[in-house]
Amino acid sequence: MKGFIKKDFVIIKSNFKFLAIFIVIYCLLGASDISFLLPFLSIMVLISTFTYDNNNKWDAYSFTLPNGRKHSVQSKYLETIIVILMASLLTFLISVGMSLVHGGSLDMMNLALNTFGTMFGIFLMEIFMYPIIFKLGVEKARIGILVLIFALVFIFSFLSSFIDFAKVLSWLSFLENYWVLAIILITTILMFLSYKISLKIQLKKDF
Amino acid sequence: MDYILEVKNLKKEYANFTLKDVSFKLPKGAIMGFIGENGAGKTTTIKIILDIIKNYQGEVTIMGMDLKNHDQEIKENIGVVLDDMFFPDVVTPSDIDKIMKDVYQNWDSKMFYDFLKEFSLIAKNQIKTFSKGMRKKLEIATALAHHPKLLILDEPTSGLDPVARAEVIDLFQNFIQNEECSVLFSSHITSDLEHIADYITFINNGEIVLSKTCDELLNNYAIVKCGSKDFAKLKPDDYLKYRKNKYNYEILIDNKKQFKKKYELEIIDKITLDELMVLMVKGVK
Repeated sequence: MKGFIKKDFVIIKSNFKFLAIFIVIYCLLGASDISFLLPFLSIMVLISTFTYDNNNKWDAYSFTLPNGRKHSVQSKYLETIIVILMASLLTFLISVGMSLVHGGSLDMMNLALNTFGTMFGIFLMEIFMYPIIFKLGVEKARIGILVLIFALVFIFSFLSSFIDFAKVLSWLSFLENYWVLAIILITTILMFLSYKISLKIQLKKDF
Repeated sequence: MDYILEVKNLKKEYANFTLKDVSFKLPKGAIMGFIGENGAGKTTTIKIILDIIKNYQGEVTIMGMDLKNHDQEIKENIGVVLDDMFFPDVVTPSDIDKIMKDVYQNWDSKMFYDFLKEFSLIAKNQIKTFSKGMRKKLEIATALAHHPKLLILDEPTSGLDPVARAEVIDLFQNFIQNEECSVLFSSHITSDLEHIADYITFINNGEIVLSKTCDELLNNYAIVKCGSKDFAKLKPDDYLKYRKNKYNYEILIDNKKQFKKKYELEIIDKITLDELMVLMVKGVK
C-alpha cells in the first residue's frame, strides 16, 4: 500500500504548488475566514488523483500488481485522512496567524470549532463520494453525486413534513457534553462502512 | 512438458461479443505470439489472465497455481505491458523506482536504472514529456525489473521505430534464455512475431482458431495460387479456406507435403502470419 500512497503523493505534490499560491493570494487579499478553504481545496486535490488515475488507466494497470485491488482502496482512504487532518491543522494555524496579524481579538475556541466542523463536513463528503467514485469512475460519479444530493434533499424535505426535527435534536441533548466524541465515533464508523463498500466494489470490478 | 501458463475454456459474455471456450498452453522457456484482428478477443483474454477481468468462466493456471486462489503469488511473478495502461503521466521513472520498491518484493533498482540507461530515458523527466516509443520502453523496463517468470505483453512494439523494436525483441529473447521464463506477446506487427515466437495462437471472433508451434506452421501451412479450373479439381477436405481474387484463387492448406503429392499446383512455400490471418478471417470454405 505504501507504493500506492507514494504514487498519489507525487500527483498531489504537483497540485500543492497551485494550492499554496491560491492560499497566499487569498490571505493577501485580506480574507479573514479561511476555515473552509484549505480542507475544501485539499478535497479537490484528492479527487484529482482519481482523475489522473482514470486518464492514464492506472486502475486497470494497478489490478495486475500484487494486492492491487485492495491497496488502491486502502491508499485512497488513508491519504484522505492524512490530507484532511493536515489541511485542518494548517487552516487552524493560518487562522491564528492571520488573527494576530490583523490585530483582532483571538477567539481560539471559535477558531477550533470552525476548523473541527469543517473537517468533519469534508470527511462526510468523502465518505459518501468514494464508493460512488469507485463504482462509476470519477467522470460518471459527478452525476451520481448530484443525484445523491438531490435524493437526500428530497428525502429530508419529505420527512420534515412528518417529523419534528427540533424534537429529535432535543432527544439528543444527553450528548451535550460528549458531542465531539460522538461526532468522531460516528464519522469513524461511517468511514469504515464506506471503506468496506468501496473495497467490495473494487474487488469485483472489471475493466 | 512443463507449462508456465495454461488457459482452459475461458468464457466471457458481453452484449455484442463473446469469448468462447478459449484454451491454450504456453511452455516454460518459450515465446508465444497471440494474434488476431482488432476486436477478436486478444485483450479480453489477456485481461482475464491478468485479473483485470474477474467475472468469467474457465480456468487460468500460472506456474501451476490457480489464478483465482493464488493471485498475489502469481502477480509477484508476472511482468506486464498493456496498451495505454500505466502510471499517471506526472510520474517520473525515478518515482516509479521508489513506488515499485514498495509494490514488488523482488524489485531490482539497479536493473531498472540499467534499463533506463540502455533505453536513454532520463530518470527525472515526467512521463508526459516522453514520446510514445520512450513511454513504451519505460513500460518494458518496469515490467522486467522485478525478475518476473512470465511476461505478458499487449502490443509492446507498437509506436517503436525499427531499431528500438529490434532492441526490445533482443531483450525478450534474452529473457527466455534460462528456459524458466516465458513470454505471451500479442501484436499486430506480425513480422516481429515471425522473428521470435516459438508458438503462435490465433484468435478470431472470440474463438481460438489455431495454437501451434511456429515450425509446425511453417512446415505444414502454405498458400496455393491457381485459376478457377484447377480450383474446381480440389477436394474441400484438402484445404482450410480459400479466397477468390480478381484473377485467381488463394487457397490456404495445412498439409503441404500431401498436397504437393496429390496436386500439381504452384505452392508458395513461405506463408507469412499476415497472409495466414487474412485467409483465416476473410477466406471461405
